[in-house]
Amino acid sequence: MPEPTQTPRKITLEELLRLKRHERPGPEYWARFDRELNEKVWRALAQPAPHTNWLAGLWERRMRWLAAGAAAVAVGFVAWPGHVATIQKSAASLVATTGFSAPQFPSAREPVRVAAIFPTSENADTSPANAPARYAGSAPDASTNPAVFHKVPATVAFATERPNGARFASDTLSTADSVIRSRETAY
Amino acid sequence: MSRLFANTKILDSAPSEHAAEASVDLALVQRVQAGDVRAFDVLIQKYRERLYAIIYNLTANREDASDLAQEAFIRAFRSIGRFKGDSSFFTWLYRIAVNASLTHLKRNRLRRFFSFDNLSEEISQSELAETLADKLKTDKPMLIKELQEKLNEALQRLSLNHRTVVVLFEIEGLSHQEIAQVMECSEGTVRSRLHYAKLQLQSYLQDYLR
Repeated sequence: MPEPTQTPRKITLEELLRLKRHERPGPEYWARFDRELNEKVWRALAQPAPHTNWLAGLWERRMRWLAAGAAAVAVGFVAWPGHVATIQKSAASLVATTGFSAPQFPSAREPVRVAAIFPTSENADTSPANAPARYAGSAPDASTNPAVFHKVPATVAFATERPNGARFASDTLSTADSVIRSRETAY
Repeated sequence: MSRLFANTKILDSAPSEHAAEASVDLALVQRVQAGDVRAFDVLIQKYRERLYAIIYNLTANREDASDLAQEAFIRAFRSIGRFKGDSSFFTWLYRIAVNASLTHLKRNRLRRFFSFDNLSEEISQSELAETLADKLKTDKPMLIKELQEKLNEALQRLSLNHRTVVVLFEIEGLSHQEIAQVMECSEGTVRSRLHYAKLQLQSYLQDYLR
C-alpha cells in the first residue's frame, strides 16, 4: 500500500506577521519605563500646558514687534523733516482760528545750536567779532589771572536759538545731522 | 504563550467586551478629569504594552518606541480634559501615539537606526517555527533570528501609511473600523491600504511563504 503523500503545511503572511507579537521587552524594562513616565507625568503637572507656553511666547513676540514698530515710528518721526513743517502749519492754523500764540518751533533745515556751558549772561553776545579781549591772544594762565576763567554752572542750560549769529559754530548741529550721526554710531 | 497574547486579549475579543472595556476606560478618564491623577496610572498600566508595541513596530527602534510611548501618554494626560468620549479611549490614545510616531519618522527619515527587542523563547517551540525549519532546512535558532530580521526589513520597506495599517490590523488586531478612527480615514481606504501592503509584503517574504 503506497504511503500517503504528506502535503506541506502552507504558511501564511498573517502567521509570519503575528510573530511580531512575540517581540516584547522584559519586565525590567517596564520598571524603568514606569519610573521615567511617572517623573514625566509629575513634571507635566507642575508645568503649564505647552499651548499656554506657546500663547505666552506668541504674546511676548507680539509685544516685541509692537515695541519695534513704535521705535521705528518714533525714529521716522524724528528723521523725517516734513513733520516740523506739518506741526508749524497746524500750529499756524490753530493760531489763526483760536488767536492763541503758539510757541515757535525750529525748522529742521535750520541749524539748532547748543548754546553750551557758559553762564546765560555770557551768551548774550559772543560772536567772534565781539569777543572780549581776554579771549584773544595767547592762552591765559590760571595761576596768574584766575578771573579769566569762568566757573561752569552746576546746572547747564542747553538753549536752542534762531540763527541770528554763528557764535558757536562747532556746537551747531541740525536735528537731521544728529540723527545721521547717531545712526552712524549705532551701525 | 497565553501571556504573550494577553496584551491583545481585549482587541481579539468580542464587540460586547470592547464596549465594556470602553465604559471602564471612560469611568477612569472621568476620574482623571475630576483630578484623580492615580486613575491615569491605571490607564498607563493597561495600555503601555500595546502602545509601545504599535510604536515599536512602526519605528523598529526600541529606544525611540520608549520615548514616543511616554510622550504619547504625557500628551494624552495634558489633553484628557478635552476628551469627550466620542470615540473609545484606546482609539484616542492610539491616534496620539500613531501621529507622534509618524511625525517622528517623517522628521528623521534620513537618520534611521534599528534596534529590536528579543523574540520570546517560546516561539522556538511553536508549530510555525517547526514547519519553517523543516521547510527551509535550517537550524531553528538561526531561522528565528533571520526571520525577525526579514520581517522587520520587509515592514520598513512599506510606506508609512501601509505600515501603520499592517501593524494595527495584523499585529495589534484592531478592526478596520477602529483603524479608520485611529488614522482618520475611511474604512475603504484602510482595506485598500491593507490589500496593497500585503501584496508588497508577500513579494518581500516569498522565501518563507512558498
